[in-house]
Amino acid sequence: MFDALMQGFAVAFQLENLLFIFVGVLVGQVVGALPGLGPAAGMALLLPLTFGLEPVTAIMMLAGIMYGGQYGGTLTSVLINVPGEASGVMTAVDGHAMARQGRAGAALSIAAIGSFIAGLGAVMAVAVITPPLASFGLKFNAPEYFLLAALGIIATGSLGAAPIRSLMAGVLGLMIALIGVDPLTGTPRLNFGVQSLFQGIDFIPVAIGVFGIAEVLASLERNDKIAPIRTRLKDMWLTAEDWTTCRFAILRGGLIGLFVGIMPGAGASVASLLAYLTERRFSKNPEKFGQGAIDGVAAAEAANNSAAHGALIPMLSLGIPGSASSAVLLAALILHGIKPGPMLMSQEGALVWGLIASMVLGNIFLLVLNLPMAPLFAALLRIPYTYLAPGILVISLVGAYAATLSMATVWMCIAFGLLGWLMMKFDIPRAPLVLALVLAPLMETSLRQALLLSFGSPMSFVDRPISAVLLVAVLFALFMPFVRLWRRR
Amino acid sequence: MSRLRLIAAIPALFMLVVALGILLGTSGLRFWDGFTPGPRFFPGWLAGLGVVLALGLLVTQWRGTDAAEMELPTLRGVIVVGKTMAGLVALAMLAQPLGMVPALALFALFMLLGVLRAPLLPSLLTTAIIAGGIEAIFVRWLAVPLPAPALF
Repeated sequence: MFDALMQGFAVAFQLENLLFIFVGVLVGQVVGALPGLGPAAGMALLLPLTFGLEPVTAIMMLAGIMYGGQYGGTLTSVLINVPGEASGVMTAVDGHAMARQGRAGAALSIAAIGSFIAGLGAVMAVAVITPPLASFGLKFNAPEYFLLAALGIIATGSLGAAPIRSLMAGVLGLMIALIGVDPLTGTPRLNFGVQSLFQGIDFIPVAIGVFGIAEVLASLERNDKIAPIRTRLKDMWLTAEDWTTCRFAILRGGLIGLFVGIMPGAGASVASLLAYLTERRFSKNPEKFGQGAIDGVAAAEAANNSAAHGALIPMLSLGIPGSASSAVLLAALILHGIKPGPMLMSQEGALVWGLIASMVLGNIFLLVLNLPMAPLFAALLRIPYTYLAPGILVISLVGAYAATLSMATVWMCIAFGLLGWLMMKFDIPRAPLVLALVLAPLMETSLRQALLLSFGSPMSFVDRPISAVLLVAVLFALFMPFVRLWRRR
Repeated sequence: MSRLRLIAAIPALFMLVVALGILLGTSGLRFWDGFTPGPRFFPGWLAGLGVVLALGLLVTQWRGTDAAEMELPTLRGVIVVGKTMAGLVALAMLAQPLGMVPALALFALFMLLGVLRAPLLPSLLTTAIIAGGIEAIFVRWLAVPLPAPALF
């Protein structure tokens, strides 16, 4: 394995490959920072441009966009509270709160460092333990996936003082996801004859509307004469207390992200959520979560970057993409004449190990890019909000349009912007809605598959040991907030 | 006080309406298909869950144990939000006849001068930066085919 890895580094260090790794991570950084254009969309847009490149070079560049997008998504999450992807939602919760407290630089720094450390760890895991990890991930079946998705949604109900409202938001998100077609039978469902609803409601307009546009509406409505948030240079630097607070958060987040990332379909969004909630349990200051907890940011960012790398494990070992981004990467392999699957590592060893080595270099490039440039991005907040607000609204709508090239998405974005603003007025958390929208297809498909395989018997959720453990966790997460409320009375 | 209670009940009532809409909208679909859940299975359960949560919220509000803190807007706030939403709707309507970039520029100018009452010169400069930035990044660099003016 060591020899193979060294061979991979030899491939990655070729000048052309080094250049395209850098181009990939830089493009990923920018694309991740733009609302509406996530890594998967950025990879898909640039895919045609790779046809003139060697397959290994093309894959290295596209992979760079994939994990570079995670770093870039942090910028919008922290600076303007608009997560570029679902995996940035938890970062936005505490990262933006930190920015409002004048610690945007620190949030960006810990996000970059946490992502780097976790990313490197994930790359090593991809190299060292791919086969046994992939085998364990394959033991998950429909019941486990359903319970994992349910746990993700219910667990967000523990945010805020009113669990009922959080659960309602989650259920509303699941209801929105019903629109379109039935995932198993393809039967049109809840589209009321509207052509643009046949494909369902995408995550992008919902997230941009509910978070970005709603936040702008709320800021304009309050008219607080918001002073520009000033980020002092010294705020960039992490204090000893920050390091002490975050070191285990990064470790835990990285491990959780890796574990979740290798499970096909779970993805960076579930990883960042689970890591965030886990960190809240272990944190010495859990009351700070939601108000600017740096360890929350560290855990979420470590997890989402780790998951982004971990998603490559099933893709490289079995030909099964673990995320939308790795699905685009899989398509790129096929377009370049490479056959994915279990034989990939033996037949295209130079490509696989070159890719693994390139991820080490890519993460180093991203750390170098992000740390010195953090104050440059944080300085954007010195611009008076009056002049930022129209720009944020414009970028949000253009980003929404760019996701699907349809004006219907723009209309949806506007509608969800109004909904998000109303949710803020009625003190209903928005994060559960968006997360439920992402997890809904996995949840419904898994539930129905589980019941199909068990001929309608719900015992399949109890008979299997892993699903039994998850079921206990779901019930615990569901009833604990109500027990806590009852005890308080 | 009763008006405030009615306003506070809006989220629960909205959820009830949505749940009812789902039940009605999926009335032609099967809940169970042989030995497997049908297309109405998941919506049915969600609608039921929505009704339970909505009723639960109404009960907590009636008992006064709801911990939520509503933040009702002022009249001025409602006007600003209303104008912004009107601007966004106008933008979406004008994007195709005028082209996305010109429509965005008009929207930005409307926001700065009409809604936010910013000074003229900085507003013009900001509008130029926004429009130019969108053109440069999305159209020229990322080659996103934004709607072009219908006249051309």
